[in-house]
Amino acid sequence: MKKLVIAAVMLLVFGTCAYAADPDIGVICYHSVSDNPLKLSTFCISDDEFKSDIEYLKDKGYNCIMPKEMWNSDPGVRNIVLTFDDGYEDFYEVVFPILKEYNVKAAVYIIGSEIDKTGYLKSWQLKEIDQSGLVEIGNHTNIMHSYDYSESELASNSTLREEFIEDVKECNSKLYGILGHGTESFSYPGGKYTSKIDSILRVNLGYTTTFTTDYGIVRTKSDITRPMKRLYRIHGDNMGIIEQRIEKFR
Amino acid sequence: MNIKIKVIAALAVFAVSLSQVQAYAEGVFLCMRANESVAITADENNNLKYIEMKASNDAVVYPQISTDGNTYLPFRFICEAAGLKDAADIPADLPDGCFRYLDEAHAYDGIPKVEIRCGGKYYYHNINESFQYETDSGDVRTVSIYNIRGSIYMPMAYLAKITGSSAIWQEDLGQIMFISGDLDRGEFLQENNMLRRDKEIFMEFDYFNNNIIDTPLYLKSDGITVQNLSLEITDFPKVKSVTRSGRDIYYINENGVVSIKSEDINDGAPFSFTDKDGNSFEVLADTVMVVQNKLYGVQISANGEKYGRLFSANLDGTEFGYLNEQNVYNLILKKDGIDLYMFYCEAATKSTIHMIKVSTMDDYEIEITNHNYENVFRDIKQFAVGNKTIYWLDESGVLHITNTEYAVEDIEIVRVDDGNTKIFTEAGSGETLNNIISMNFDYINNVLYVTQVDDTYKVFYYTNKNGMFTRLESGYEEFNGVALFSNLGYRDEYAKAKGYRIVVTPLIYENGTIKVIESEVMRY
Repeated sequence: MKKLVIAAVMLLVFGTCAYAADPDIGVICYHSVSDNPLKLSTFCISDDEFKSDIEYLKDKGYNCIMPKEMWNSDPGVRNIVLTFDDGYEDFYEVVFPILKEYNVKAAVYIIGSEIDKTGYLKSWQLKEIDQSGLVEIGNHTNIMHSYDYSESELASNSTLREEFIEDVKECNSKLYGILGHGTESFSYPGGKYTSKIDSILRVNLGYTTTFTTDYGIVRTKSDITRPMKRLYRIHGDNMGIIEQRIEKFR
Repeated sequence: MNIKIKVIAALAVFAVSLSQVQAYAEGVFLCMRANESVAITADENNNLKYIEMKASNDAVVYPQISTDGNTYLPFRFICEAAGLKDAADIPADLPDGCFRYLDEAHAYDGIPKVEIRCGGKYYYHNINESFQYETDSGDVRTVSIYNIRGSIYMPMAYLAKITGSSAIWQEDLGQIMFISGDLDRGEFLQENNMLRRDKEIFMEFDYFNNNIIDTPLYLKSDGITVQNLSLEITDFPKVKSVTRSGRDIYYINENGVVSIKSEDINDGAPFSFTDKDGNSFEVLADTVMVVQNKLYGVQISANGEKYGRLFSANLDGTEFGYLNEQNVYNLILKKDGIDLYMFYCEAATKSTIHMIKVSTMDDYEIEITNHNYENVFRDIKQFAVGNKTIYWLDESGVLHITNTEYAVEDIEIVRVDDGNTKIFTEAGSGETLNNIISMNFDYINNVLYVTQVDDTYKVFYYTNKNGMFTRLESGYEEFNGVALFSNLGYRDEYAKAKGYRIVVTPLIYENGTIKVIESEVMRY
């Protein structure tokens, strides 16, 4: 009887601790940020919008962390992760100067085949961004970003899955050549993934964080072990609206 | 089969050094493309030429399409094209037929704005402030005038309306036409608004597919006359790879040296290139071609070689430089829509084709593999890129036709069935077409021509429409090749040659069939 009580108490304590350690991190998904008013669209917000996002987060006491810091994030702090998919050149031209100005961290996910291509980040820009210590550079596949495939195809077609894995390696290899180190964070193109691929990325390729575009936040540490949900930041929204969405998930 | 294109490197930034567009009394014709700074305009003789668009601060500018669908053009450039004069230095009231930009310091209320006065009417708009106007079709559009990184951009249709110009946006081509003044749009545009001189532009006025038999033929600057360049040079040497910019003709002389001469002048001399350090030198080359005011070619180390370094230079020979590190061959130009692409093959592998998009100079490596990631190409002697098709001739003289299902320029990776690389036979004969010595591709009509030599020379053509090879014509078997070009009358012509004897024959392309017009043969 005594043993049972101890066990029950321990469960209670452990359970409480686990709850207290929930990171509750909102991950924001950006794509393009432009200072050209002609380019603004759903997935291309203005430089003023981004600046106001950062100012809002600063004012509200949010701590912007990189994906690799999620595992050890302080649960007592309001953490948030800013992610930028596709690696557009405006990340260097518009986003990076603002990150530096406000000393804010973020992550950018690179399509390997687009490096050095018009409108995308150049090798020298990637180096500079990486060396700043403010930005984690992640993998967004080499060329499969432009593939037309469904999540069910990814699940059922082993050739496609193998190609996906090879493609992730190819992008990592390219970034290794530029940065001198590999990547440990991955963003699924179109948010499409399978648990099998995610397992290979984490176990075999050493990725510690992966992101989908499913709608939600990262509540628990076990959420970090799976493709993590994100919140889109679209043109016309503001960070106050996104904060309300984060609160709804809590 | 996997088809994969990957970018190798962004090559040297494409740059042209051209004068600004000239406004003539009758008006200005401009053909532009979104996000591209090189436009096509017409000179006082209505000859088309390329120009680079620049803002008053010398920044390179280009048409932009806003996400709400409006086309924006660089303010100063397009106002001048519309026949207006820049009155930035006039402090008083704006005279008629003028425009100016007033920054914060010069605007009376401290708000940057543009002013235009034309046709006796005065227009002014604050920068970044939206306003509405009604189009000729009655649509009400909301637009703004923007300052984008120091350059002012103006809605094209609005400017066309207030200046009485024509503005045409061709969404499928991403092409923008602006015709001001009293110019006859029919001079430049067909009824469907397509550029009337598209073939001339495609051919870069000068470069036509004459590299197969290395004919000395070229299309003269009148756009009509086909001329044998050898006849313009003393002692009639054998020259090849003739390419023209205006009346300047670049070619490779009998010693393999890149040379230059003026049209109709019986002279010619090695062309002097200059590198960035100011060193002058001559260049041995296998191919040379003018593409949008730049000279490209393959530099070789000895006359007669075909592998060498890909180079570019300005048309005056300055800024000579290599575009990559490796030896290449089979440099060809292709147009898709109004995009220009150069293709070449790596000499080391003879199985890797590269594509350079001329507007960005991005260099792509094209990989076409089967499901085992094995390259379908091998021992490429010559290749051409057609519409969803790559034609390639191997060293043994066998022609392969690989169906890519998607345009190579558009795709990064695609899966198609195995067996898409075929070797065709002549229609009805059942015999494999081998002993092919050269091929040539008509990018306008998507027709492949091949020259076969066994006991004699024969020319065949192939179209995707009929899916087979057909003998072009009988007779003239002594001729050893075919070269294609188009003249201003939008007619295709081909040349057959043996030694210095050349026959030019008009062709008509109809429903996958080529007809030869024997009655109009010209001989040189």
